[in-house]
Amino acid sequence: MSEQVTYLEALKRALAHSLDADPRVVLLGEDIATYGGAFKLTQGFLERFGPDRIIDTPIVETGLVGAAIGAGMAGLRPVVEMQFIDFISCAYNQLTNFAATCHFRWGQSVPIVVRGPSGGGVHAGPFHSQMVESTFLNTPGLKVVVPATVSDAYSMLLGAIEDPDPVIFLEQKSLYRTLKGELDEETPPVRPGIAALRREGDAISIISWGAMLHRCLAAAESAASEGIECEVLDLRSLCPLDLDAIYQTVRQTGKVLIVHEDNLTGGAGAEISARISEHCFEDLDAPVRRLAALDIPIPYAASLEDASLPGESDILNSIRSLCNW
Amino acid sequence: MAIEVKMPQMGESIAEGTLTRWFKKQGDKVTRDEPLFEISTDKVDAEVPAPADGILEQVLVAEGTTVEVNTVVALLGDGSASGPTVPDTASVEPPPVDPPVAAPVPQPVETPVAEVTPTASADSASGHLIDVPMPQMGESIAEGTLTRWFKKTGDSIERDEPLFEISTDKVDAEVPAPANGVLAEILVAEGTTVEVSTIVARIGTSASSATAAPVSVAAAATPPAPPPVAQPHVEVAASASPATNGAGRVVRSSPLVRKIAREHGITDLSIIPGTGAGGRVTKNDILGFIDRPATAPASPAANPAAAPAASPSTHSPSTHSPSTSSPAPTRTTSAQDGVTVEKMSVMRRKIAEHMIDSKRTSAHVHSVFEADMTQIVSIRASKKDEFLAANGTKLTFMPFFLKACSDALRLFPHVNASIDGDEILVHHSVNIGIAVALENGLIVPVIKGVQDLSILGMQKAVSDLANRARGKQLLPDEVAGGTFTITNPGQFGGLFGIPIINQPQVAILGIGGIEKRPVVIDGDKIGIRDMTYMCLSYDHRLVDGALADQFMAQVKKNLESFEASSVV
Repeated sequence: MSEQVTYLEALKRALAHSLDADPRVVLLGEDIATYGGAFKLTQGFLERFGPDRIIDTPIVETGLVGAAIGAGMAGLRPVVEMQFIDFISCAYNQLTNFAATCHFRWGQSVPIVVRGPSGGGVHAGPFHSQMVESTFLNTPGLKVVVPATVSDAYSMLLGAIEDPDPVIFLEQKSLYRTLKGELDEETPPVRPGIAALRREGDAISIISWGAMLHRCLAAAESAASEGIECEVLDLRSLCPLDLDAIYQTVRQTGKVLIVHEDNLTGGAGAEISARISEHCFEDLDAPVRRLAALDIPIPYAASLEDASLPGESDILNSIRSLCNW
Repeated sequence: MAIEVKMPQMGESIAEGTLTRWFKKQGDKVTRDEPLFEISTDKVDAEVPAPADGILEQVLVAEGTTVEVNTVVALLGDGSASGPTVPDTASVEPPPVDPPVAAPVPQPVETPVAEVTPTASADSASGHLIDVPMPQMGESIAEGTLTRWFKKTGDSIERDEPLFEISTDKVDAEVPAPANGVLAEILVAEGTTVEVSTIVARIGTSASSATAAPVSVAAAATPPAPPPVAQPHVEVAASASPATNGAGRVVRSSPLVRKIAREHGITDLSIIPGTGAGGRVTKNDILGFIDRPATAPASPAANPAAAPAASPSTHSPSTHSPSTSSPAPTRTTSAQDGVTVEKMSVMRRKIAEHMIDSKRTSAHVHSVFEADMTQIVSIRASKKDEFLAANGTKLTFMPFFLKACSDALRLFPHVNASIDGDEILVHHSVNIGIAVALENGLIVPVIKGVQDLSILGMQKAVSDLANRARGKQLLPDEVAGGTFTITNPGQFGGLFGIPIINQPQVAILGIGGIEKRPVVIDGDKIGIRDMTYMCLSYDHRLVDGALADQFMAQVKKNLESFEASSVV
């Protein structure tokens, strides 16, 4: 049975489904129980699942991630909410030095999910708009998921909770209530590491994820009206990276545009571009292009924030220029 | 046998270390595992034990010196004799002192310098020579002019002190010395323009000051470079052109295109028209190129791989004259898109190349005049039968224009000129090319020495060259050496055309059709006259508007005042 729901609702149902299906699942976070979460994502959960499983914590990110790690090691499946993902940096040590290394150091699984609203587009300024994906990409042991669709928000959150490793689950708050789509709650969980081809084409491969995917798809439609058919690959998770899917689309078109919302320098696009150069050099008909946020903190002013992020027209211009290269 | 004591590797990522202290001095007895020297690296300081029992025969690296891992820092001997065990230098060379610094030189002291630098002063003879290259002053700068030396040979200089001054397209700048030392050699004189990286001087460094410049490693390790100038250019050209056509033009493409080309045996990408930015050959271009002949009922000769591979030599302008080749255009039809695709003939390609090249080279300006040809029309009408009977060739209008132009060119020799770099070549002979339309192109045979020909001589030359052009019998010489060109775009009724200059000439005259038009004559009357428009395209780099218009006024005057007697 499928119905139209918001991205936020899909996340909420994934959490509820997991809480229903698996008694080991517990939620920890600031204001998630009594208040129902800053975005009301867990509204009603306290009543439904009880205070043992829906746990309000102090405003101490390092403490609540640390508690979740301990609970995970003890056999639970904790899901931690960062009220805004920007504050995950407060828990950096717990995640990178501890959670990420346990498996390698003594075979200890840390099955936790750290999820939260991330990204810009809602004019919330530098502390409530960050994409933190690249921060965790070079920490082996962490998985990084960025769902772009309603269906993925649901199925990939289920997959993250099932996953035996710590997963950073980056929800796109700009999509919370603006994106609606079909949700079939029978959809099976999707584990990190498998990309999805959202559009087929032969001229250019656009590789993106998260909220930027929708701008890419819109730009690709505009380009199609000009006779340029773009392939659009939604990576869905950045670690593991679906390199096979990336190489396949590169070999299909020979021209690549990578679009992401994190900053340009050291962003995931740099890694993807490097991999393509190393493994697909002779399949390239043009240099790999990247579009990403400017290397600045996200500005507060709406006009400046818009200017700092890749827009649909920026993407379309890059498509045209790449096409003409 | 002497045992080499090497700078040890103190960690995977450590490439060099500084020898901070010797615990023993030359001649001391050492026992195995006894601390011999102390080193300091990025990560650790450590004492290095002696690898064997023996006598410290030679210390090769002085305290405080940084050397690469595995550099030999000392020689241990059995103490029997320092002379025979250690090769030649040991006995000649006094104690440590002279560390060949940065380079991991296995043999201690070499003196490669002395014979290379007869001009170097004495103290540099024991050091290294450092090459001083012309610096790159900006990404797009390929050369610079060395305008001034601040030092002369033999002067001592300090690192970072201004050594010479250069002037490039974009900047003038003082270039500092890369190291302390003595200016051993000046290789490029003031006022000379050289390419970036050309070695302009050598600095001799004394052994003690050699530490400064990282360049010294390369300088010491390579044999003395041959004189500078042209050589770097050759290397650059050779390495920077992965795909060039016969004329040396770099063909832009992509890794994918080059792979596809390799898979299809295409060795010359220049035969594929590029539609990408800057003429780049794109994937679609090469795939289209490959698809095309493949759909034809191909004989082996039409094989796409074979043809391009064989063709490069025909690209060279020096070996190819349009008149000597007569390629039949190969036609194939692409079924899918309803477009007939024709391969460009060599002549077509050359025309395209020359025309674009001319537009790119010359600052084209145009000046249009009209001339009253009534007089000439009547002269020709009255003479043509007689002319044909006497000479076996028809009298056309062309000799009249040739005569008018030739006389005008003699008065304005800078229109009868060409440009070579920044020099103007003013030609004494008037050699006029005449554009002759062929079925699939055009060619410009040249009538040489027009100034010495009569109308009859001109007409004979015109008829002969035009006939042989159409019969494809022109000799290469006959299409070269022009100093001015006339083209006749009016033969199908055009009023006038705006021609493109035939390089390296500086002017071309386009003549429109001659037709009867009502014009104002004799003050206030309207008469019917035989009129023509003439358009001169000229290169404003050399010919200014005033000169062009004076020239055109003279041509007009010559045409309008033609005397029947000059046609015999």
